[in-house]
Amino acid sequence: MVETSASLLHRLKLGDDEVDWENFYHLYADIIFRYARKLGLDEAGAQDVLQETMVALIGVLKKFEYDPRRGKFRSFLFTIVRRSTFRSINRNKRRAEISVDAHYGQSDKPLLELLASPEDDSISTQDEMRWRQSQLEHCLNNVRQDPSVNAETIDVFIAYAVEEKPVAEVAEHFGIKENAVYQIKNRMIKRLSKEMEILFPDESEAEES
Amino acid sequence: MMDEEEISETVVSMNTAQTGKHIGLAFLERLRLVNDLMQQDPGQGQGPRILFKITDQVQYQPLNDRLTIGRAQNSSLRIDDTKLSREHLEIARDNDAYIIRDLNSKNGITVNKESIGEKVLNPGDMITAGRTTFVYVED
Repeated sequence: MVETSASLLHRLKLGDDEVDWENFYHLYADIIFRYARKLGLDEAGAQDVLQETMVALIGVLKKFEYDPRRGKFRSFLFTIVRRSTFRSINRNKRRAEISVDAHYGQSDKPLLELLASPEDDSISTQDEMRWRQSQLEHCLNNVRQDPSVNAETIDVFIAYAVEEKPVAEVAEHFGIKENAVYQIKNRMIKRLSKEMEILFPDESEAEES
Repeated sequence: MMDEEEISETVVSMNTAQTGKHIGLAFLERLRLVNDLMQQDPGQGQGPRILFKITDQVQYQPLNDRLTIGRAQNSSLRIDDTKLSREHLEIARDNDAYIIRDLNSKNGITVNKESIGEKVLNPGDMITAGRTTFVYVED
């Protein structure tokens, strides 16, 4: 079972136990990698960002005291991820060793300009969205691995809620009633919400206080 | 925490591909080595540097404009390793980055287990030359 971030962080402070480090890695590596990919980096570039972020975390976590009253753990982590991303892209761009989309999404601005300055700790809505979506993608992968969840349930959810296909089309394709499609979406949203609470409980605690 | 309505909006167009190969064992093993060396890093706060172990003792070498590693007496970092060439490799500054180059060594160098001639170093990169392994770190 993957440990939750707040308790894991607390235990990490107690020593350099390898198992703790691996749990931390398993919880966040996929999310950081996905976030970097959303910025337009290719797999190699995203792996550089993941590596740089993890190395920065190893250094910072030794001195870090987690206090939810001083801000969310996610904000702390996200700041490190954004700074590492900025540095990694900056370092490699001259050598053209990473492939970055010249423009990200529909924006006319180059990727580096889209990332807020690493000194500016305010998180843009678009960046926030990328991070949240990366977390949800990770949660969906976890749900997918739960043997009690039918694979077709996941497929229906993806077709209707993620790909936004018309309900009638989804119902016909899977041979189910339209009402069943709505029910599957609702159940999956509840399950993802639960998964987020389990994996990232410190975020809800901080926001509630 | 996101409420269900926010989740419903956020899942639209998300990437539903499963975990990629980046969560591979080799990558995790490399992070273990980095973690191990950083926990014993005697050069903490010294800026860009390479960490390595000689007889189980973690050592560090700060990086300035140019560092050469080899068996030759005049190498900036001389290591007594018969698998190293006299002048095996250099690590040179290029603006904000450090570039590693193989100086036509006999046995070559690898970065993260891939043979390379030249590469921009990223924090956590694992360099192997001869029997010695180095890890590049910053602060």
